[in-house]
Amino acid sequence: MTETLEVPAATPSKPKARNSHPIRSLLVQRLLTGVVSVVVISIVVYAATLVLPGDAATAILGQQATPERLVELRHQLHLDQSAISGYLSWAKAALHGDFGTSLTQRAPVWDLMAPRLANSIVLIVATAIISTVLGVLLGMWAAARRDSWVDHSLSVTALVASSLPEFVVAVFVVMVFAVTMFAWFPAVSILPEGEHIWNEPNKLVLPVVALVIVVTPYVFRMFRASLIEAMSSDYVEVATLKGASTRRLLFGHALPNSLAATIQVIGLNLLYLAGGIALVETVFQYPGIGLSLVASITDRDVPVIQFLVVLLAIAYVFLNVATDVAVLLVTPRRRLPR
Amino acid sequence: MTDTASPATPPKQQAPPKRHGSVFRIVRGALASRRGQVGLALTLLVVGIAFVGPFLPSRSPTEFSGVPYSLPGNGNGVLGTDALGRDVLARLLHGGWSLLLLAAISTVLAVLLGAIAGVVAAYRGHLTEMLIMRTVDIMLAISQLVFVLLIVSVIGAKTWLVVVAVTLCQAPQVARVMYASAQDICERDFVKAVALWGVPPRKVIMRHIMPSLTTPLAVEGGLRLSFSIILIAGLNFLGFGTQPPNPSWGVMVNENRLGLATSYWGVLAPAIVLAILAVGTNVFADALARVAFGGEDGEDVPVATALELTKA
Amino acid sequence: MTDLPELATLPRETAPPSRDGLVVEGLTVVTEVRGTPVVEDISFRVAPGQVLGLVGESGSGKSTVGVALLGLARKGLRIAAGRVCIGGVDILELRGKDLQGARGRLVAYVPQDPASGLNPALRVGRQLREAIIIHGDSLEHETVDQRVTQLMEEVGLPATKAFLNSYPHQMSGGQQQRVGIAMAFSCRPRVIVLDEPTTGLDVTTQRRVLETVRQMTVEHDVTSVYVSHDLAVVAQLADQTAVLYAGRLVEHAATEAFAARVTRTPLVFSRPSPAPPAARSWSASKAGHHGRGAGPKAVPSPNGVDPSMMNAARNCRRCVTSETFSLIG
Repeated sequence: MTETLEVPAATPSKPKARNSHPIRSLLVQRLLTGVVSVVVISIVVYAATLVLPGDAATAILGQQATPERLVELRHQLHLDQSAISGYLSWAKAALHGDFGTSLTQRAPVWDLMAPRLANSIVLIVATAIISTVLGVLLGMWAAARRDSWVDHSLSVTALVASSLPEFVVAVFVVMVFAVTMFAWFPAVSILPEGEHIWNEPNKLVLPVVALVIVVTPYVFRMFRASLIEAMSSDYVEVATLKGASTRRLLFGHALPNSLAATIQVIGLNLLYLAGGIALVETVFQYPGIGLSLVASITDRDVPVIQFLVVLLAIAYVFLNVATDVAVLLVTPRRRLPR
Repeated sequence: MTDTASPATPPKQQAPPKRHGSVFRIVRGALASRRGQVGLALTLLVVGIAFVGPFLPSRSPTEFSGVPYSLPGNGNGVLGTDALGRDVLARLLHGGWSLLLLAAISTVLAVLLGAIAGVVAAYRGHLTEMLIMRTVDIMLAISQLVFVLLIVSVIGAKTWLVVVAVTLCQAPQVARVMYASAQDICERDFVKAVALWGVPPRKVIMRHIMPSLTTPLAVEGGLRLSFSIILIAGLNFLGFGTQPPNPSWGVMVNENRLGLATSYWGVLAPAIVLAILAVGTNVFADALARVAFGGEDGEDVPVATALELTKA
Repeated sequence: MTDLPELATLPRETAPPSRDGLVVEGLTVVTEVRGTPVVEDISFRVAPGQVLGLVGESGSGKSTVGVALLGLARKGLRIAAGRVCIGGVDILELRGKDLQGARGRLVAYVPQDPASGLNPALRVGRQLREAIIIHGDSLEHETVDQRVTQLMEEVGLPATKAFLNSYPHQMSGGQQQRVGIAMAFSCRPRVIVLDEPTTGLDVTTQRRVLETVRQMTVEHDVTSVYVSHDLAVVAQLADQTAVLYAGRLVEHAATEAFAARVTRTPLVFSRPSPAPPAARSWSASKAGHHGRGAGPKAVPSPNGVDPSMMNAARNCRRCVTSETFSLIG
């Protein structure tokens, strides 16, 4: 995983004044920042096409640049207008659902991308669910048996697994499960164009396995650490002295206090997955937006690039807001004013 | 983490990670731990392959020496041949140094840029702080990979561009950590006193603030280096960065993928080497963090430190 | 007010543990790694309905003694020896489920920091009910809610649904502390250990909390052990006072007798006061670390203390401190 384990999604700021509707004001603030971010990113993406060395259209078409095609392409990319009005036309069309036409495949971007988007979402959701459940269970096990051999071996495994680059993990997974030892699953997950992954679920398995290996260690580590921190707190000591059993301490006291950090890690994982699946999808040739992003960048398929990058930006904003709200919901201290 | 034995425990404040001395000391401390030793050994092993490899006698890494995807033996080399019939071992030996060099350069630049940005933001406050940190937030909102891909897609897959792109996407992370650490320092009286004496901000930052920040800088630098290596390898894998016919471990993993069923060394050898390097650097960075921020046995220091930062 | 005999003259063989009250004998807590004693050979007895003030400076081990009364040794420590008898049960002999059953039911604890002693993620009502639910046998013909309501009235907090549904951070420090006290009294234990519960509270709140403790101790015939470094607070509240110094119990007597010696600031370091008459235990404690016997060979002085020892002790911080606390007479 190329992202770090730093948990806060935004820079820690100085304490704000108390307000009476923390959820609402948080939503508003984050959404505003989010919208601004999306707009900025869309401008950057659009400007990228203008910055191409030489004339953008020529650079894209390269050797296939006949005069007619040049004109056609320039018009399509709004390059025949000024920069600002070109951007506005592009943005307006996008807001109306028209995302342009793919340069390499000559079909509307949305028609091409929709099934791929669905495939990637399936991959992400499956990974998120499995990795969360696994990470939470293992984290709880390790925290309850703190400093035992179970804890040590799990922690070391997590450290190693979280260090490995994701494409290396994917390659190893393919080696073990598809090629050499157990030829149970297909080594690649190629589907016919426009096909959905749930029609051939055995092609979903190995990519999920690879991603789960990459992502679970973070959930495990954070959950374990926050459980341990909660268990060494004053309130757990007080509960112990009330005669509470270990089970009650773990589930009734430590767990509610570990939710916030764990939710943040899950949110970070989702963020990472949204962008980082490109590598795993490439290894498996999995028909998702990660593969499309790489392909479109290699082919200079500008409308597709624009669509995917802005889509990812929106996904990030949404995930950030959802994570922050969820954390707020489980932290009574911030949710309810005095 | 809570000191339950002390009387009158004050409420938990958000404090930047504690410092325990100079960079030298934490490196020495890291080397004293088993984790640090293992991590360093693994890292040096791969670094050795990368930088000494080109000087070892082997076949040419770029010339065709046999039938593609041949298994080892029968005059096909120790590791067989790759997709184009080139010797895998030779390409392995020659395929590391550029990766590590680029990663090292990007890391140094990212740390410099990020440190300056973060410290200036903490010191100046007000508008400068807001501008810098909001930019950092926005940049952090994009996946590192996507960000680099975007830049590369615009200008092309040139090597220097990869360095710039990786620098730009690592710098915000450094900036954020340095910002958090610097905030505490900037509040200290000695900094305010020095500023009141009329010392120009540049000198205040360089001479008085930075020296106190060497520890988080070193730890963060270690982390960034390991991520840079992984990131650049990943980019190579996707086809950006080192161009054929030059060998690079990341490129090798990709270009030999089709032979995975038959002659897998073309993929497996660079993958294993990359894995060892990644694990080694990460484990060593973990050992550094442990010494720098102090951790009990079995405590997960990077995570615990991140936890503290969230208890705002 | 019972006048307990001095420590030095307490017969060493243990008297049969009384049905009520708290009897501590030879309590010793050491570090886990090296076995260095942190508190050594602590013994005292407190009758029900009485408050014992356990005082000492920071690091004297008073908090360690406090939690040891519940069979707990904090991180890095181990209870090495001793007995803590409550209602005929030696807490230190209990393990596992038996120990869990005794904690909260026979002996309870009020933490030092009310804010961190309450779980920030759980509602206050839930935390109040917890001990009662754990020890189901403590209820007598009443429901859990009825007991909670009664507890709230006793500590002077509103028994409303709104209050019970609120979270700890929504209350003031004084309210939090009274919740802590209510939690401790919830199963009607025989002994309650209060670990500096008024630290950090303003004087008015402090007074209210002390009154609550006093009242509930008497009302429920509970033995309270009040750990504190603040002699002034202890003087108001405790019936007896015991002094801990460097892990050892150096004095134990009725508080009234202390009050006579202690004026404003209890700890006077530089001015040795004239030795009190018949200072037997006093000189006994000095004998140890000045290396000179204060036994029968000592030349009696008008003050009853060996003059050479007096000189040696004049500049010894430790002797001067215990001198301040010692009373006799």
